[in-house]
Amino acid sequence: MHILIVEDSALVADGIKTGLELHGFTADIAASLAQARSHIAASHFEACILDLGLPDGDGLRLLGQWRAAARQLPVLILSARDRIEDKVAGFQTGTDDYLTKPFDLTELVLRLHALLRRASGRASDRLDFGSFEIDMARAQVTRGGQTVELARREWALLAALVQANGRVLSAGQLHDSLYGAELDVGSNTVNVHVHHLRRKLGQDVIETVRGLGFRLHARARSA
Amino acid sequence: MKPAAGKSLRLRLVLGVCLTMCVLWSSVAAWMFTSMRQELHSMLDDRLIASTRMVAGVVQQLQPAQQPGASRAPSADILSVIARDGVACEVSLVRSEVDIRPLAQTANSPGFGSLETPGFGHILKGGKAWRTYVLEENGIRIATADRIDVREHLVESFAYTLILPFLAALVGSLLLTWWCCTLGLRPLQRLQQELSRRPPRASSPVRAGQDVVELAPLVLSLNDLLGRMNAAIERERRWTADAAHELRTPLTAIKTHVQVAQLVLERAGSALPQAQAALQQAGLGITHMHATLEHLLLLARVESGAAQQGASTPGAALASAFEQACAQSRHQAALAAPAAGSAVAPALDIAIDHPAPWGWEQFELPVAAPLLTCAITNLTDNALRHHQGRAPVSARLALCAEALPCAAREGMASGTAAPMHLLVRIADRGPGLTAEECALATQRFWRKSSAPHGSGLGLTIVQRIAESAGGCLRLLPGTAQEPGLVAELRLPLLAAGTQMAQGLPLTGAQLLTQS
Repeated sequence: MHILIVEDSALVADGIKTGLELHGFTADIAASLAQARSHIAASHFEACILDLGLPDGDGLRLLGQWRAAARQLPVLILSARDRIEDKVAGFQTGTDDYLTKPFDLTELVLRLHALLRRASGRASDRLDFGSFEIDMARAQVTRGGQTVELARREWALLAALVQANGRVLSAGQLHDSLYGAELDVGSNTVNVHVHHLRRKLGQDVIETVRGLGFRLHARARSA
Repeated sequence: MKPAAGKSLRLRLVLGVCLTMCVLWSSVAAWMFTSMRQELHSMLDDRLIASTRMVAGVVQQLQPAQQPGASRAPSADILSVIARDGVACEVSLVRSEVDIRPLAQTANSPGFGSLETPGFGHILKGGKAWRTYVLEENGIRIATADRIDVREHLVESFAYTLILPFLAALVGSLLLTWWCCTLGLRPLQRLQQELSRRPPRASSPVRAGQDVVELAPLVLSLNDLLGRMNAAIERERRWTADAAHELRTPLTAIKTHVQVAQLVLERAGSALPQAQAALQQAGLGITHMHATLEHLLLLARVESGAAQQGASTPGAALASAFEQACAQSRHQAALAAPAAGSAVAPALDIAIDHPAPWGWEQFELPVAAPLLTCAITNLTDNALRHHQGRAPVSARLALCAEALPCAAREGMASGTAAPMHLLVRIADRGPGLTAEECALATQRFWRKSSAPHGSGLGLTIVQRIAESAGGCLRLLPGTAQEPGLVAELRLPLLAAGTQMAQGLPLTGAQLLTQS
């Protein structure tokens, strides 16, 4: 899943990015409000980690603009501001969660999973998918108790489709979820990963909507 | 602090007015008295002269009628004339310088035979002094006299007539001046009342006294001072927020990267125990640094008043806040026990004295609940950290009806009745502190030993929280029979809702009346 990290401290942002990638996420960094706006306009993100004190303004302003434009992107504020008033202002502006610095990486990941679960309307991080079971929090797919080995990109593709909850994702959107802002990636890589996933989980797992993109098969969604 | 005696503005004004009146009126009275005395004596002397001349005139008129028989010898009998007390008159026939024979005299006449020369004089007859006037005309000598003591009595009567109304006027003026001063100083009293009712962190300007010409500059200066103080507090708050950001961000970066490194080693299944141990130690260091940073920021907020902001804890939540704080400390102690080389953390016995016949809900504590929990946690953490032996650490929450033994409260208490207050008492059986160490223990970064326990700010924070609410923290050194340290946190209680607005301490009598 593709996460946007809006954080002006390069040290913190890099740490979060690496930590998230170790947990199966794809992350991109925006160091200012302007960069965050251009990232959001150019790419598809499943969630956003938003710092408040940014060089060109307050993160709450950006959040307010997103909510005013009916953008439903799940947002987790990650800030050093720990006063109740700051948290109240954050939630009133439209954040879905609030975590103060310094934080525990595991807690951040779990909160992100909870955020994504609520956003996609799932009750649990464990999904039954025919003979398969998908554990979103542990980034794991099992069949009959046996782990199905998935490459990092394959997991990212599957997670993005699960998170879309039946919506069709274009190849470009899936590309964003797999590679983020990486530019030197071949144009056919999404199709390659879709092919690999179908081979491991079954041909009917991912449905191709001609001319539009891909979506998870209804059997998986209703499970 | 109570105002020092003799500093009353009203008393000063009244005394000033009285002193001025006394000095002025006394000077006037002294001047008037001297002048009046002289005038009176002069007037009485004139009366003597007038009386003498009048008698001389009468004698002159009588003499021609008597001249045909003038050769007759004067009668041996002296004509006695009735006169009022203190006045005497004598008419004598002067035959020669040595032969003067009285013809008529008043009954109380002192006898003027000794008087040699005409004019004024003084004689002393029968133990009484007389003022005399003698006139000799045509062989007749007329002498009149006033008794000096009668004259002085007259002067005294005049003096009393002057002094008594003055004294009465002085007493009346005193009372009227006192009353007028009381009326005149009412704007000051209203200003004092508004200031005493004012919440500690109120930002609104003071209104009382602005319509009084003499007070307006004072109120203006006061509002200016309050404005500058509020601005300073706001700057302090901003500084705290900025410091929080500036310090937490690099700490976050270090912590995140350490966690990432740990995760990478864990995922890679790397058999590098030294690297794992080093990262674990780095993690502990970060945790300690984080705790110190949080304590520093909390201390800055408590000292700037930003953490309180007029918040309070309802009485019904006091017991749960106490239990929550104890539970946190128990959990913390259980986590720290293995690192401290102990298998089991010390036990913590908690006791809550329910305030019968009152209920907790009748109270309100002028301390925000998170701060109360933080203060109690700091005390119990300290006790559990230093406790030794099998006996448990004792933590007690109680209600006290006695006066707060806190210097900070003395300036805030407005009533004479003892206010109710909350007592949190934590007692451990550790090495304890001496009386001198107890005095030092609330200083920032003071530690008894160089052991890397705590931030050295825990007790300072508790003390600042207590002081911000008008309470206090007391550390009592242990005794030979009961070694260890006893920490007593005392915080004033307010009546729920009813007195919160006034910020008055609650008394037992008021509570009984309510219940």
